[in-house]
This record gives sequence, structure tokens and C-alpha cells, in this order.
Amino acid sequence: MVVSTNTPEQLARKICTDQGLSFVGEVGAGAFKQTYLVRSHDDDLALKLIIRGNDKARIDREIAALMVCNHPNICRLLKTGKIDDEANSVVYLIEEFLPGGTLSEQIAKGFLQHANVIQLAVKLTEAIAHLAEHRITHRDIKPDNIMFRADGTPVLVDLGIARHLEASSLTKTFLLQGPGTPLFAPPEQLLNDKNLIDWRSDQFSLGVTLSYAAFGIHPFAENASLDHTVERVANRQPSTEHFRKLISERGFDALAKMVEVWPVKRFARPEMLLAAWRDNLGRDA
Amino acid sequence: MSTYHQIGHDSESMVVEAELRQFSGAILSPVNYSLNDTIAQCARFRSYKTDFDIIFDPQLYVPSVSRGKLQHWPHKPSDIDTADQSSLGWWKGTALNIIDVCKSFNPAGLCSPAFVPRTFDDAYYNLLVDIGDITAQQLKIDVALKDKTRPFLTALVGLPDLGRNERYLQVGSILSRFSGKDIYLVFVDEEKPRNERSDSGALEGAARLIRVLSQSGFRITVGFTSSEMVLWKAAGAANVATGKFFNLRRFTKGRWDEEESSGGKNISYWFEPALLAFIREADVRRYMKEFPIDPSHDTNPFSKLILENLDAPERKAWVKESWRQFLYWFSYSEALIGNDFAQSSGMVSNAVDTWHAVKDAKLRFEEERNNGDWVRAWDIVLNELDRRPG
Repeated sequence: MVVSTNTPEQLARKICTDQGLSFVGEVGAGAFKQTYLVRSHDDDLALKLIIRGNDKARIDREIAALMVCNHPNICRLLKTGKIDDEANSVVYLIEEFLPGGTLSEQIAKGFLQHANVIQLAVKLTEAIAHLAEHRITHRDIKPDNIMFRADGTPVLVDLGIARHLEASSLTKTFLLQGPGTPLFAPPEQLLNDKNLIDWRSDQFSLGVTLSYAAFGIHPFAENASLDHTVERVANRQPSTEHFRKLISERGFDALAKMVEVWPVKRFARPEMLLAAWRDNLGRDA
Repeated sequence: MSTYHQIGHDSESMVVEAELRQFSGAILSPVNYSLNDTIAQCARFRSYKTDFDIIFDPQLYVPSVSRGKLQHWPHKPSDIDTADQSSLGWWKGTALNIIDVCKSFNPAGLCSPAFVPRTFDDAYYNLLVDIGDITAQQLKIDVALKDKTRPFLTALVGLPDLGRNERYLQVGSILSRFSGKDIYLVFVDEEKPRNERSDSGALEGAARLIRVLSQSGFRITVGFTSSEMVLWKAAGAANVATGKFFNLRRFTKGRWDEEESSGGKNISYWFEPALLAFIREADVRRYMKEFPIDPSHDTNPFSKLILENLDAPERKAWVKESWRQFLYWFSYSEALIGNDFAQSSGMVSNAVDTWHAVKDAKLRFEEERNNGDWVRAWDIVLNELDRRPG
């Protein structure tokens, strides 16, 4: 199929026509994707156009990862396809629409309450446990990549740099080109040590994310310099005393283990991490 | 918390001896016994103790010149010396053959196949874990063995390398990717026969590796150990395995050659717990003139036999009793220590003190290497573990 224009919105409208969807409007734009709200009967859906077409491996990985996932806390991929845009073929994804916004937006309004942090930890641990079961590492867990359904259910999104452990590594591109976020990355990702990257790397990133959600701080930040914080993580220096004091006061001891700089010192199995957070849940109940 | 017989050449009879009942299992050796012998061994061991824990180590790591009976086992790949051992596909086929052969004797544990590399780098450890996972996965879906046999990750770890700063954390981070619970840990070095391991930096790294993996939830079985097991137990190892020749040998790349050529196996050594040392007959006499032997000898039936023999007008060779004396000490000491750090530490401190006294008394032993330097190194290791738990 050849279309006469290459503006993303027109491509999106064309896809809607082809797929029997109603076009509603644009909801977001990133470096790689343009996202539109579309409607199928009464269901809101997200139509994502991959607007930078030179990263085929990355797109394929996201699609491959989403195809094998079937979990209530991982974004649901409903359909994927391609539309010809004169010279290029544009890939699109149709996913569930997540109207609750991102965790970043929630944190900007205020830190999460104690019980909400625990709920979030449990749900997202279940999500990374599901990925781990399929030997997939997300590698970019951060507040921007956690979104919410209308009922408040947290959902992990953007598996763009997810890596199946049997697949060849994309790690080299991680730091050089983004989109991975060094601020949330564990030392093994920052150091490109692929022998150490597995689900425990996601555990670290989730730990940092939860620290932001609960206290608004990075566990390793001594000052406002993000570079300094990343450097401390890369050098495997310990988390700050301030962080350790906060988690101890709030009863979030699991966080200290999650952000250990060596994977062997983190929770060894997803079920262990889950048990630690569920224990918190039980205590709070 | 158990001790295992590391089955070696002509050592199966010891497994079923009443005085050595404290051992709760055995690690089989296809290098030393044929498949038919192994089937018979397993039946014998099980009739001796119904819950005897039998673990199979396929021993593919032995060099070609020393494979002994392994040459004729069906699990030994015909292309073992020419295959690309970095290929997971090759290891998967090998693991399947090993699982098949296990069906004839149903071991309670199966160690994944492994090889000794030229260098103990991260890629090697990563491959070991992949091989371990493949073996565990295949075992899990095998109808005959899935409910009978638990998988072990065989981890041959370069000991000298562990002396490097934080190397144990890197190695531990890779090994802890293993999907199973049991790790069969074997430290490899180039220590000469009869020499105790005494590199305090490397030993501390090894102990810390055991500790960090145990704390991570793994059950560590340290194979091919000798009296240095006091360190491994202090660090948290669940199980330790030894054999009759471990009064002499350590796991080195060349140890199999020694075994083939008998490696001094006819020399009798008295194991003196007060020194944590293997000393020779004339040394025993000299030592006993000036120092009391360790109280644990009172309950060691083989110590009594040896002493009676030494006093007898017509003395007999006591090499067999010497093996048993060591094995008895090993199993009872392991049970005594459990994972009580203070027990291990106390044994080593006591040995340090005794060696000081021996030196003060200007007492010398026949073998020059028998100078007690290693107990000082072991004491340093335990002190560091205590000072910086990690």
C-alpha cells in the first residue's frame, strides 16, 4: 500500500481506516514513537507509530517481547503491522490505552503513600517475575515506563530495549545512543557487563524507581548532580546513609537489598522479592 | 549439613563401614568404576542406608590421559577432545546422554558436566551456568528422573583468581544465575600433593564466595576437600565431600596423573586435629612425647587402632587405618561444626597455638612442608570473615 503523505497523523488516520478504528487524537510523542488515542467500538486503544525507522532490531525486540508476555501488569499488545509510507515502511503497534498517566506524573504531584508503594512494588515485581520466566530482561524500568490503567493498576510499558537472554546483546547501544536511562540502571548495565545482566538488573532499576516513588530520592545520590550519582553506581559505591535511614524508618528494608551493587547480593529469585514485599503488605493489613 | 564420600580408586568398601556411618552420601566416580560396578555400588549403598544420598558427577573434566573407566561409559562423548566446548548445543546433547545413563542407577543428585578451562574468566563461568541450566531443564522434563534426581550446578572455580579484589562477587553474581538450588563447588589450583592450601587472599575469596552464595539461598556442596573444610563450613557450606586420598591430594589440573601413578598413596599419615596436619609415623612418636594428642582421638576408633599398632611388637602397615582415621575426623568434625563459625574458628585457633608450642619446643617434622604455615593463613581468613562479614 502506498500513501501520498508522510505526516505521522495522516499515517495514523490511514491505519485507523484500514483497521476499522476511530481516530481520536494525539496523546504523546517520544524520540522513537508517536502515540495516538484510537477507538474500537467502546474500547480506547493506543496506536503507536515507530517514527524512527532505522532501529529495526529494537522494534522487533519490543514486539517479540510483548508477544510472549501475558500479564496484567505488562502492557497488552493487541496487534502489530506495517504501513508503507512512500520510501519507508512504518511499523505500528496497537496496544491497550493507559489513561492513568505515568508514575513520573504521579510522583510530580507528591510521593506515594506507604501502602501504595508496597502495592506498586508487589505488582511490578509480579511483572518482572513474568518477564524473568520468559528469560526477558526489560532493562529500562523507570517512572516514565510505568503507567496506570483507569482503575489504578500499574502497567510496565516500553520493552524497546528488552533483551531475551538467549539473543545477541544490544547492550553496546544502551549507553551510546540511549534510550536506556543511566540514572535507573544497575552497575552491570552501566559497565556493559553482559555476563551479569539478568532479571536482577530489573530488580535494581525497580528499587531505584520505588525509592523515587516513596522518598523522591535516588539511593546513591549524595548531591543534585545526576552524573555524580551515576558514577557512584558505576563504581559500585554503597547506597547513601540517608537512603538507608529512610528505608529503615519506613520499614522498606527490601529496597536496600534490591539496590545492592552486585547481583549476587540482591534477591536471588523473583519469588523471594515478591515474598519480601508481600510480607510488608501483610504487616500493613 | 552432611559429609559425602568422594569415591576414588578402590574406596567403595569404606562407604559401608559401620564406623564411617556419619557420612550421609557419596559422589560417584565414573573414572574409577565402570557403569556395571556403579550400578552394583548404588544397590549396595542403598541396602546399607536407605536414605543414602547418591550423587553422580560425570567427571568429563578429567584430561584424556587419565580417564580410566570413563572411556567406556556411554555418556562420554566420542568427540570430547575435538568438539567445540563453547557450543551449548554440544553440551545439551552431552547432558541428555548423561541423564540417559543415570536411569540405570537413579542417583538422587546429578552434577552438570563441566570442563577445566585455560583461564577462569567470566565467559567460562557463564557457560558453566548455561550448561547447568540446560542439564536442570532436561532433568526436569525427564519422566524417569524428574522426581528422583535433583540437579547440581558443577562450578569448577579457579582458586588463585579469587584473591583478586571483589572477584568472588563477580563470580558469585554469575553462578547465582543458576536456576537450581544446589551448587557443587570445586576449587582448582596448582597446589602440590601433600601441601595445604595457604594463600590467605585466595582462601578468603573462596570462603566469601561460599558465604555469598549460601546467603543467596543456594545449598553449597564443596567437593574434593581436605582438612581445609573447616574454612568452607565456617563460611556456610551445607555439605563437604572428601575421599581417602585427600590426605595427600588437592584438585589440581594434574591430580589425575598422580592418581594413575599412585601418588604416594601407600604412605601412612596420622591426622592430628590439634595441628590440623597430616604427620608421619616418626612424627607421631616425637609429638606424643611432648604434647597431648587431640581429645577427639578418644572417640576415633581408627586412632586407637593405629596407636595400638604402633605399640605392638610386630607392627603392620597402617595406611588403610590412616585413611579411615582422617575420614572419621572429617565426618564427625563436620557434624560438630555444622555452620557454627565459633567451632571452626576454635579449631583453627587451637591449631595455631599448638603450632606455636611445637615451634617453641623446636620440634620438627619429617616433611619440610609440615611447618604449620597454613593454619596461620586459615586463622587470618576466619579473622577476616569475622571482622568484615561482607
